[in-house]
Parts: sequence; C-alpha cells; structure tokens
Amino acid sequence: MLPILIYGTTLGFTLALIAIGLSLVFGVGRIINFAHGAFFAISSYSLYLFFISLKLSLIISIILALVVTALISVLMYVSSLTRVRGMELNEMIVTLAFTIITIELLRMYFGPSPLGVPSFMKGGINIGGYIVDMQRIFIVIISIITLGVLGFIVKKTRIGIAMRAVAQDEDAAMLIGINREHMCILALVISAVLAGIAGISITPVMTASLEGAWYALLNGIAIVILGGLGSLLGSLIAAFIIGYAEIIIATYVSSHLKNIVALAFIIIILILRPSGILGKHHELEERV
Amino acid sequence: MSSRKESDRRKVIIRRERLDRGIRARSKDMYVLMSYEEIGYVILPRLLPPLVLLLFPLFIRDQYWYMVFFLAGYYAIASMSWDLLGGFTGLISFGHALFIGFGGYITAILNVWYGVPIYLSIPLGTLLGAGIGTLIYFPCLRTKGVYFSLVSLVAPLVLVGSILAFAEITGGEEGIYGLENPLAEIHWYYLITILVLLTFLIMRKIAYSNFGLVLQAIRDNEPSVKISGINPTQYKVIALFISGLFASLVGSIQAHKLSFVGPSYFYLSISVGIITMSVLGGVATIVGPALGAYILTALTEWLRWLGSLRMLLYGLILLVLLVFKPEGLYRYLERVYQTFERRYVEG
Repeated sequence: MLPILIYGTTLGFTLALIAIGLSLVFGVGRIINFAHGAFFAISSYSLYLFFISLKLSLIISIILALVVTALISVLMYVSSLTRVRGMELNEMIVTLAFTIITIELLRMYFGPSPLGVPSFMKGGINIGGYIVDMQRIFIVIISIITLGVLGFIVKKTRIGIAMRAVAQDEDAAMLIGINREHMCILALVISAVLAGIAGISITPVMTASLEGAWYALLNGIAIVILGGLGSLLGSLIAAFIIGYAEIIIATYVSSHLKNIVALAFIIIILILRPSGILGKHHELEERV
Repeated sequence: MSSRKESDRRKVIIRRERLDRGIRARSKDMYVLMSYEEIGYVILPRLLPPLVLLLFPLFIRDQYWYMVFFLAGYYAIASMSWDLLGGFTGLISFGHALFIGFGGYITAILNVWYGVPIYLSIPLGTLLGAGIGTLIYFPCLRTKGVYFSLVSLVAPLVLVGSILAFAEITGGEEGIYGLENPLAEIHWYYLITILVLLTFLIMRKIAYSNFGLVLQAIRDNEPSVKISGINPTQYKVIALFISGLFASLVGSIQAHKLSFVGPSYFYLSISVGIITMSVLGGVATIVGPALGAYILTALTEWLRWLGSLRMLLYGLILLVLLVFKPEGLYRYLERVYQTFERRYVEG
C-alpha cells in the first residue's frame, strides 16, 4: 500500500505540472496545445545535452534546459501558430505537426533509444520502513514550490490578474487595454516551463525518451478533460486521480494496461459529466 | 492621315476569353454543350483520372507499381473517409488509424481463429470495426468537436498498449499471421481502384446531399442546427459510422492482402499521413484528399531513402501548407483550369 502511495504521489505531481500548463493555455488562449508533449521531451533531452554531453554543472544545465524549452515555445507561437490563430482546427493540426517535427528531429540527433541521466541527489529517506530515493522527494518538493509560485502569480500579481481577465472575457480585457497576444504568449511560456520542470525532474527516474512526449501528451489530455477544460484546480485534482489509478493498475493488473486508464476515465467522465469534475455546466455551453 | 488608317487596318487584335465562358453564360447547373471543345473541357478532367487508373496496368506490367498504387488507393479511401468527418462535419480525427486497426484486427480474428472465409470476413470486419470505433467515440460526440479531436488522438495511442495486454487473442507485438490471400497483386490493385472510384462517388453523393448539408451546418454553426430542430449528435454519429465504415474496409482489405495484422495498423504515422494527404489535396472537397493520397504516396515512394524520416516530411508539409497555403491542391488546380483561355484574332 505504501509504495502505491509514494509512487502515485510523485506521478500525480508530475502529471499535475504537465496538465496545468495545458489547461492554462486553453483557458487563456483557447489553444489546444498538442505540442505540450514536445516541450516535455525537449526539456529532458536538453538536460541530457547540457548535463551529460556538454558536462555543465547541474544548476546551469537545468536553467539552460528551461530557457531552451521556453524559447522553443515562443518560436512555435511566433513562427506558425500566430498565423492560424482563431481557426481552432488548424491550430490543433499545426501544433501536432510541430510535435512530430520536434520528435523526429530529436530522434535524428539523439537516436531512438532512451537516454539516462543520473539522480540529482544521492541516497534515500526511510518512510515507514520503505526507502524512498531522494529524486522522488525532490520531484515532490520542487512541484509543490512550482505550484505555489504559479498560484501566487495567477492570483496576486498584476500580470496574473490580466491573464485571468483574458480567460474570463477576452473582449472586456482588450477594452481595458490588455494585450491578448502577449497574455497568450506568456501563458504558453509558463506552460512550457511547467512541462519543462516536470520533464527535467522526472528524467532521472524515467530516462529521456521519445515515448515520454506521447505519454505526457496523452495523460495531459486525459487529465484536462477529467478536470474540466480550462480549470486549473480541476486539473490538479484529476492529475492525482489518474496518477494513483495508473500506479494501482500497473501494480495489480498489468503494466500494459496502464495507459488505458486515461482513456477509460475520459470516456466515463464524458458520459457522466461532460464538463469535467470542476467545470461548470454553463461554461460547457459557452466554451466547449 | 492615310498612313494611320493603313496601320489600323493591319493591326491584329488578339482577344482572350475563358474557355468555359460560353458554358457559364448559357447555364449555371446544367451543361449545354455546343462544341467538341466544350465537351472535352467538361468531360476530360472527370474521365481522365479514372481511365488512367483503370488502364495503366495494360501498359506497365510491374508488380512494384501495382503495390505502390495499391498503397495509394488504400490511403485515398482512408483520406476521403477522413474528409467526410474532418472537412464536412468539422470533427478533426487525429486517430483515423483506429478504424483501420479495428477493421484489420477483427477481420484477422474472424479469418484465422474462426475460419470465416474471405468474402464474409471482410464485410463483417468492416461493419464490426466501424461499430466498435463509433461506440468508443460516441461519448465525445455530445460535446463540441474539440473533445472528439482530443479523444481521437488519445484512443489509438492507448489501444496499442492494450493490444500487448491481450496477447493470446491479438498476438501481442507479433500480430496475427496467415490470413487467407487468394488474389494476385493485380487483382488487389483492381479491387482497390474500383473501391476508390466507388468511395468517391458515394462520398460525393453523401457530402452534397441534404444529409451533407446538415453536416456542413454542424461544422459552421452547431447551435443553429439545434435551433432548427435537428439533433446534431445523431448526424455526427451517422457521419462517424459512415466514415469509419470506409476506413475499416481499408483495414480489413489490407489485412487480407498482407496476410498479417499487427500494432502498426494503429500507428500515429498512418493517421498523420491521412491528415497530411487531405490537407495537401484540399479539405472538404472529397476529390482533393484522394489526389493528395496519390501524390504523397508517390512522393514517399520516390523518397524511399528517407526511411523513418517520412514522419518529418509529413510534419513539415502539414505545417507549411496550413500556415502558408491552406486551400489545398485541388482548389488551386480547379481555379487554374477555370481560367484557361482561348485566343482568337478579331478585326
């Protein structure tokens, strides 16, 4: 029981970071960002590049990896997404094409096999007779800090309030002088950084792999639908539901069926409550 | 004074006129053709592609080309069925390979495990594949198109994993071998080509009927469809089922032709290939995706040395086309053809 709790919590925090970014971009910019998995993969591969290949120090490699991820997200928006803004279907296809291009370029440069990165911290902590390695503790701590900072930015700062204003009513926000495009780019950068933090902190546990991109994307989508599109708190709750459910299925049934949990949750929630756990019904009519 | 008049008389005035001007002036929907030139203008582009497809094996006797054109036809049917969903109904499917995979697997299970003969296993596989696929997607059709797109991306990726979990039925990673394959390469080629032409006719009939009109209305403005007293979910389900029918037909034919099904039937590269072909040829035109399928398959075959970089090519084509030229090849060609001019001397 204890291992399930521990592994489920780490997975839940990682998935929460991934899904909240996806949810944020949908809330602010109405973009379904299929490139989110690509950001996840870019961050773990650039960590490998800076930390292992170029032998930079750990802190510098992490910062550089996050900067690279954020820059690539801006590049995607400015180069291609801005030209198809407002055309929902084209936005989705463009971001998917971007993901495919990124993954194939990564495959070309780094090769198809997964790449390992050593743990940031050695050793472990004994919790109730079960030794948890420091990397997982690190994931939990860094995720809590990140989520706290994100909550502060979104709730308290002027820029966060501006972002929420765009999410609530785009026209009214533009009337009082908030630049919609800037907020959208900002949301995309924040989401890329969140995916980057998730990708970087989980790389030593999971290795940097191309499948990781699809894993992150499909779980992110499942969580966002389960929690309600555009609802950050809903995504947080749904991330833990899916995280624990995946670990339970992988432990007791079969690790091959791990991913089907995501699909099963999507289908069940769409039958029972299409607006998600915390989505409001009128919002469903309005936005979705 | 007189010299100017002389030059006026000698001056040759060349006038240009669009070839279809006469036809357009006389009629809007019905053709009233008054010369062989006009008959040719109207009929040739409609007659030439099917004739080329049906007659080229008489001139080229090469198994390799039959194989390439079989693949092109396979993708043509799949992308036309994608177009009914993505182009006309506004439900962009990122996992059309789901139907192909279901069709293939059910056909294989029927044929290999239960010994159902080929003339029954293909129709049964098609029907069941489309039915199961529609059942999976049914919950997300009640909401707007975004949910369908999200789920359609997730579903095939997830189902590939679960194939490995039920290895005793599905054969796991290895797939199922030994399906009945009684036809030669050329017969498969003719089968798929005739099916491409039939699919095109059926799809066009559906897309431009009242039913298709409702689908287009759902794409453009779903609330207005509801206000008109039409249940959009019902129409979406029927459109999804029809679309799935053709996609799983392709899957079950492919299964018999290769005598093999495996997880590769569900791969994202197939779904992305279908989307790329449709976007290349022109979304919401029915002919366009088929055109795109033939062009892109030929291109992929020509660029064989790219190997696994095929996906990169698809991705680049998709991105560049959607950003810079979203109208597609068919609409462009149509415009060029309509502005063909004839010159004649007047004066």
